[in-house]
Parts: sequence; structure tokens; C-alpha cells
Amino acid sequence: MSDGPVGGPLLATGAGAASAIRRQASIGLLRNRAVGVTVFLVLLGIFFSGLAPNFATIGNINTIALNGAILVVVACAEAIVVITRNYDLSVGSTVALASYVGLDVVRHVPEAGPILILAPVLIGTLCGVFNGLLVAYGRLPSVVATLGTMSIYRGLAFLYANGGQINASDLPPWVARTATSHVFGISTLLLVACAVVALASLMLGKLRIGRQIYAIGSNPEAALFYGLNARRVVFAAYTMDGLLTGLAAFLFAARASWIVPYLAQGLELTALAAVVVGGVSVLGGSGTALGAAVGAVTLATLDNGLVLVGASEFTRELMQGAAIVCAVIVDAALQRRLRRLLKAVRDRRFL
Amino acid sequence: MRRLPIWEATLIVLLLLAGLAASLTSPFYLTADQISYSLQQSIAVVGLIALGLMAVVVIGEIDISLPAIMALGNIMFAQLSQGHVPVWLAFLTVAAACALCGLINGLLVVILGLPSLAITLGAMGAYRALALLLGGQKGFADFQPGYFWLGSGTVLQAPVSLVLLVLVAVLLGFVMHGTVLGRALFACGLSTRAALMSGIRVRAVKITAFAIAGAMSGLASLVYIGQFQSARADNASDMLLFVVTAVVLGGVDIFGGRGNVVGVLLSLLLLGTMENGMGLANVPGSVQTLAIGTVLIVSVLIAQGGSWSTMIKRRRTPVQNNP
Repeated sequence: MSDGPVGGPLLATGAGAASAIRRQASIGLLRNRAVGVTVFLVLLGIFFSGLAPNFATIGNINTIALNGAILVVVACAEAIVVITRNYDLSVGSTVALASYVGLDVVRHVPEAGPILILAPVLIGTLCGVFNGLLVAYGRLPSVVATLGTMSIYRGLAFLYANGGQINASDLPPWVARTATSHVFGISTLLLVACAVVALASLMLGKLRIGRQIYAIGSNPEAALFYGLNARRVVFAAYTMDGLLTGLAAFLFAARASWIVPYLAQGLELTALAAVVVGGVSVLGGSGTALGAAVGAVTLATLDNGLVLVGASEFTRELMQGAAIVCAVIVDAALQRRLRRLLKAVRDRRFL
Repeated sequence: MRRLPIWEATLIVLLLLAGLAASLTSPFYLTADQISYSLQQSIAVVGLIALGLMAVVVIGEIDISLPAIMALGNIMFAQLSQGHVPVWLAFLTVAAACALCGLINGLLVVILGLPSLAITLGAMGAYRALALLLGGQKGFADFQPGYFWLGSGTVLQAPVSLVLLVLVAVLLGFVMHGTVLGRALFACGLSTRAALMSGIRVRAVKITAFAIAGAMSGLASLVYIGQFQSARADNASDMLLFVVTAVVLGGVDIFGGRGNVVGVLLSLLLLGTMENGMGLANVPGSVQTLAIGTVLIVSVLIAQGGSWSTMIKRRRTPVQNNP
């Protein structure tokens, strides 16, 4: 580093107490945020049950849960990367590539059985690894790198498919059963989504790598001085992102009647929207997997409710755009409050 | 981080190579009409937006809502044309509206102090939805003939749109490299803090850059209508890759502060020639996109020479931290 870091002296002097207060302040705000989104979700539910009589039925709630389940997995994947202050715009293309190539393997070796779930997961992981290499070790800005890989993965899917498609009838029955079967009366899809949220929360909250992910995202310079290997952490984040996206690709394939290379187009924007609505800061460093999941369910509910009240396609797009804008503005307001809070704490220390 | 001094020279060599490859693979490539027609098809609209985006990238931000702003412009032109508004008045209206869209993006970025990607991601959804709200799902094809000249007319056998692109590039080149505003844009991109210390009105300059990009999208919109003679709210939904690639391949530092108009123009010509050559060789569209994505990544990889720590520092130049 040629000249001093921006926040150097402050970090050196006020490290102990300030960071403890900072942690507490941000934890408080974070709790509020997750609660805020949940309250919004409940209000949304009440609103739609008032407008559409068939909204608050068991069948419809089941539909929302099934639609939301896959988005929850993708949102968790995206959240891990966003917390490191990066983005992944290639999740939609990764889903397309992983589900087409992965399920093509399943189609050709049907006797291998459900172990082949690993095929799409592996391909998704490889996509994530490549993104991670470009962003962490190639030093590319994540937006540019994943904008590039978005088109590369999609192009590869088209090249591989060569104009073909995979029909659900060509696949062994266990694939579709993943989406339709129930364990203890709860859909397998839903259980998988819950498991992913639990594991991602555990990883982010308790494991060392998870804490490092937050550290890199919340203050890269401090993390650097602390001695964190930023590249390795970002690389790991993208790898986990790819792994979960690969899993989501399998779930997509299990639900779809046919698999085509243009599957999941625009998913990256929905995933980012879910993450931001769920209270993961676009500046990185804060937010939870559970929040991202609630964000995903909120978007799924919004979409479902708008369909039920007969809103057109473009109203739904408008709502999604508005949701992102509102979430970003709320995020900005909270960040600003947090910053002011910290500044007040700091000033008191120095006066 | 440093742009290679031989960047433009490399682009010229690559451009010649691409032209050579195209003329070897297809006997139809090497005619003036073919080249000017296909270049106009592939780079006139995208080029105008890329030049606008360049102004935003130079200040170290990004605006991914520009194609959506253009789609909004398309719908506005369609409505104005149906209302029998003369083309010059319609153009002024749309350009002003699109500049306003860009200005709003700039305001939000400056006031909220959040990454421009996040802001313009939301804005993209909002503008696209606004276009859908105004125009619905249907396509408009009944334009007054006056609306088509800019996009499909010719002057002295050259397509008007390409002439326009060159003129706009010259004008933007003058603004970027020869005026106080231009220097201020580069200064903001190199170091927001230093720019502020030296008395540059950073916020105003940043907002101006976004507004320029918006206005350019409005201009691109009229060219688009001339080319395709139709408008729909979902126009140009996959244009972003090409636009960003053109800017980055042109040697504009994605973290701001460096780049020039000549490079962007050369990269546009290169990308246009590649697309033309691949099209003539019957390469499917998805593979063309794959190729452009690869070009994007390779060109940024080459352009990055700086260290990780410099990059982190560059990434964090929040305006709101300054007094």
C-alpha cells in the first residue's frame, strides 16, 4: 500500500471499545431490520387476504412456499456474496448451465440414481469457482466479472444444448419426486430450502469463514490489517454461492416440465432484489441468510398476491422495481444513522 | 490499474485482424455498403449509450439503467409520434426526460451515498416498468416518417447514425478532454477526496455525468426507432453487456479516472466488426454473446495492473464521508 489507509489512525486508537459498541449498535439495527421485513410480510399477507378471497387458503400458501423455496436457496447464495461487498449477476445463467448439463448427465446415466444430484451441484460450484477466481484473484470488479460470466455461462448452455431440450419424461422419476414428494406432510422442496437457510446461517454466524466474510464486507481495510486473506475469503464466498446455485439449479429442473438453456432468465435481478429487500446491506458487512430468505418469501408473496388480484405483468415488474428502490433507500437511511451513532461515540471518546 | 499506453494501438491492430478474419471467412464482407450498413446496425445505438456510460464510469460509478431509460425514450417517441408532434419537439422532450432520468440516478447516488450499481438496479426496474406502464405490452410501428431519418437516412452515402455517432464522439471528446467539466470528471474519478479539497463541486459534477448519460440514451432512442421502425417497452433488454464491454474494452478504467473517447470509439468499431464477421459466418447469437462476454473479461483482466489494496481503497470513496 503506497499511502496510508483512509481510516487508519482511528482504527488504531479506538479499536477495542469502539468496535464493541459498533458491534452492539449494528446487531441492534440488524435485528430491527429482519423484524421490519417480517412485519412488512405479515402486512402484505393481511392486505392480500382482504383483496383476494382465495389468497389465505392452505393451497395458495403452499403455492407461495413452493415458488419461494427455490428463490430462497438462490437468495442465500447471493447473500453470501453480497455480504463480502460483491455481487453475482451470473446466478440465472449458472442455473441454466448447471441444470441443463447436470440433468443431461442424469438423462444419460439414469441407473446411477439420486447421487447424480451432485452433477448440477458440481457444475454450479465450478461456475462459482470461476467467478471467485476472476473477482478474488483476477482483481476484477464483481459487477464486470459476473456480467461477463453471465453471458459466458448462458452461451455455454446454448452451445451444449445445441437447440435441444430435456423433457421431464426423459428423466428418471426421482427427479420430479424431489419437487412433489412430502416428508411428514411437508414438501421436500420446502425442507431443502429450510435446511439451506439453517446451514447458511450457521456458516455465516458461527463458523470462522462466516465471520471472516462479514469482516471483509464491513471494513476491507480493517480486515486487511487484521491479517485476513481477503482473496481467499472472497473466493470461498463465491464457491459457496456457486454450490448453492447449483443446488437451486437441480430444484429448478425438478419443478420444470422441460429444461431449456433460457431457463431462469433474469433470476439474478430477482435474487438481488430478495437479498436487498431482506435487509442485506448493499455496502456489505451486514445482513443474514434468514433475512435474505424472508426477502425471497416477501417477493414470492407479492408476486402471488398481485396475480390473484389480477394485476398485469407490468404492475408486477413495477412493484419489484419499487421494492428494490425502497429497500435501498431504507438501507441508506439505516447506514447513515449507524454512521452518525458511531461518530457520536467516537467524538465522546476524544473530547 | 494503469491503462497500457499502447492500448489504442492494440485495438487498431485487433480491429485490422478482425476485419481480415471476416473478409477471409466470408466473400460478402469487404464492401463499403455491407460494412457501413452492419456497423450502423450493431454500434450506432449501443455506441451512443456507451459514450454516455463512459462519462459515468470515468467518475468511478456505473449506470446499468441506461438501456431501460432508452426503452422509456422509445415509448415516449411512439406516443409523441401518434400525437403528431413534430420530430424536433419530440426529440427535445424525450432528451430532456431521459436526462432527467439520469439526473435522478445521479441525485440518488450522491444523496444516499450507496453503490451506484444498487441504485441503478432499482432504477432500471422502475424505468422499465414506467415504459410498460406508458406503452403496455404492445409494439408501436406507426411512426411519422420524419422520426426515421436519424436512424436510417444517409448523407453522402454514409449512414446518418454513424455520422451522428462520430459527431457526438467528437463533441464528448471535447467536453471530456478539453473543458473544465471534463477535467473535473476525471478528477472525481481519480480521487473524490482530492477533487473536493481542490474546490471541485463533486456532487454537481457527478450528477452532471449521470445526466449526460441519460441524455445520450434519449438520443440513442431516436436512432433506435429509425433503425427498427418500431418501439416496445421491452426493447434493448440485453444491451447492457455490449455497452459495458465497449466502455471497458475502450480502456476506460472501471474504477474511474482514466480513459478516452478515441479508445471507446475504437472498441466499438472492433466489437461491431466482430459481430459483423460472426454474423456473416453464421455464428449463432448465443455464441456471439459468449464471445463478447469473454472479450469483456479478458480486457478487464489485462487492464488491471494494480494491487488488491489499491482496489479496495478505490472502491470506497464515499462522498458522504467528506465534510
